[in-house]
Amino acid sequence: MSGLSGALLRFRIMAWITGVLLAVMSVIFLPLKYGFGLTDEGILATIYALGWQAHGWLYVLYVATGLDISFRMRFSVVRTVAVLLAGTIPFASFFADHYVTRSVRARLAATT
Amino acid sequence: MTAGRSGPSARVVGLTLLAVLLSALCVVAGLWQGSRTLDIVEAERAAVAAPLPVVEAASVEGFPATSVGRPVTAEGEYSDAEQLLVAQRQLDGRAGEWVITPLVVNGTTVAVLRGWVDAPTSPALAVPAGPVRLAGALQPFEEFYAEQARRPDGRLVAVSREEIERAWGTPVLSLVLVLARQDPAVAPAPAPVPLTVQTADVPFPLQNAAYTLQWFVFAGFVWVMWWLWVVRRSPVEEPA
Repeated sequence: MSGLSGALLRFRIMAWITGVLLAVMSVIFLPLKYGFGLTDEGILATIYALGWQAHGWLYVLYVATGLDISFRMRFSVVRTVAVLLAGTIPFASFFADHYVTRSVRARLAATT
Repeated sequence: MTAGRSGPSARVVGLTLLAVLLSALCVVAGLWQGSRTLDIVEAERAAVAAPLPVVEAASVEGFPATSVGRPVTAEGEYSDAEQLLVAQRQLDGRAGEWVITPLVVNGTTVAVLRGWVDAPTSPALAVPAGPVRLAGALQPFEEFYAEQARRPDGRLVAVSREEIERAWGTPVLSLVLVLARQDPAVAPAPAPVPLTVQTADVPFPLQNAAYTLQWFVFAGFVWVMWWLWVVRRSPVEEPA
């Protein structure tokens, strides 16, 4: 069952990195850009570009780790897709992380 | 195998159709982002292909990256500061020199590379008097041979901004105007020289390009998931 723990750890790391970045980008920088119209500031423009770029590639890794843990947990297709899509909705990945972690811990407890 | 078990189940058929649909959507989205990427580059190139007054494209202090290679226009008068020759410049294999002439545009001195002459006695070296309208493109100054940029005979070895400013006693625009057309035209005139930097540099829309790739990756993930959930089912062994 060590494979399951490792897969959970990888998924949790990606869920937190992706989730925190998405939350910061959408709670702080989206309003700055579209609410307050701060588009021309040099440092902000760099943060917008780098932040969304980074989220794009981190989300790819999130999907890979999410597929891995969902497959090991024998989640249904619907559950798996819900976990994967959670990485694109602000704060949803924290709920996905909570749900997946609880499921894995229950499975590990049942088999030991 | 019994007749009832042969052929794919409804679940397999359904999930396969779903995978076809989802991966097709990902590919369409990727192609759309790809065409957006190209459209943005094209629009940026078109924006920098339109000629701009030279003092708007660059200043004495500096220039944006998009101004290198940029077509510009300039209205002003050649000043009577010393016209400079750059030694040992060929044109179509013929030996000769480049002619650098100061043009004053709204008080800013611009180094104009008027063209090429075959000899320092060429009649084309005569500097036109009075107001002129120039069309050309901006190019960077040369930075090699900086420590020996001017020869004892007064010729420049390189189109060195430092040496040109020293000779003219004034700061110059941070890019060189390479002359293509002059109005009124003079004859004889130095032969126009080709540009070393052809097109203006425009920022590449990296974010759209990345989204393009990511959509294709997601199309791949759809089939990874199909393979895992439909073909392999689950690797977790049943509890003994």
